Amino acid sequence: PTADDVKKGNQLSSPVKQREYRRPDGRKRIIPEAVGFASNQDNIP
Amino acid sequence: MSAVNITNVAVLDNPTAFLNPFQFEISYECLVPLDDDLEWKLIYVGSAEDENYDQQLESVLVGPVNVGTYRFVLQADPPDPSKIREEDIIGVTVLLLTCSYMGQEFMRVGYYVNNDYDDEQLREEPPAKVLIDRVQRNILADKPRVTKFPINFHPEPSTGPGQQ
Repeated sequence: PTADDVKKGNQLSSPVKQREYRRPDGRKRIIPEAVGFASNQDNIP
Repeated sequence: MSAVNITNVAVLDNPTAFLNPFQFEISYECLVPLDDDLEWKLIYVGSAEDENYDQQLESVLVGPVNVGTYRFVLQADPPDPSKIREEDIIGVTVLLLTCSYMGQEFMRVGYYVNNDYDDEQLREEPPAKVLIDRVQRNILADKPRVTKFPINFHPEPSTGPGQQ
């Protein structure tokens, strides 16, 4: 990304729905919120 | 072309007290499914002259990495002020947000951070010993320094990290 991409938003649009847990090895893992398709993904069969 | 593109990083709760947690809302898109999680790290640079004062504030795995766009909030504890030299607490330093895949860092976002007292009198006449409870942290969120590194997102089992 460019710096503009990274800085373009500094406010939460809505609460993020994510899940967090600790793996057996103690590492923290986040399952992110899916918000849509990738911008260049062809999702039409 | 990278398999993962970070599309937005929003710095939350900024400016805030030095001892408050860091919060970043990170959005990214994944163009191909990946076998392993992404690893995000947040590093506080405690001294511009000596990387031994760097503090890794958080390291978190994010996955599974399937095709699509995603977002999550990365939260991290503040740096331990006892591990920063007194003369380096007040002033400008750097915060690094990195993302890696299978041990290969492919993106780094650097932010300048300004730490200063929340009171004008303290700013003008700072005490000999830092009053950490009165220090405010301001991440210069509108001036990130973004660096991308080409990596191999589908390494063969026999190849090592960093190889194309």
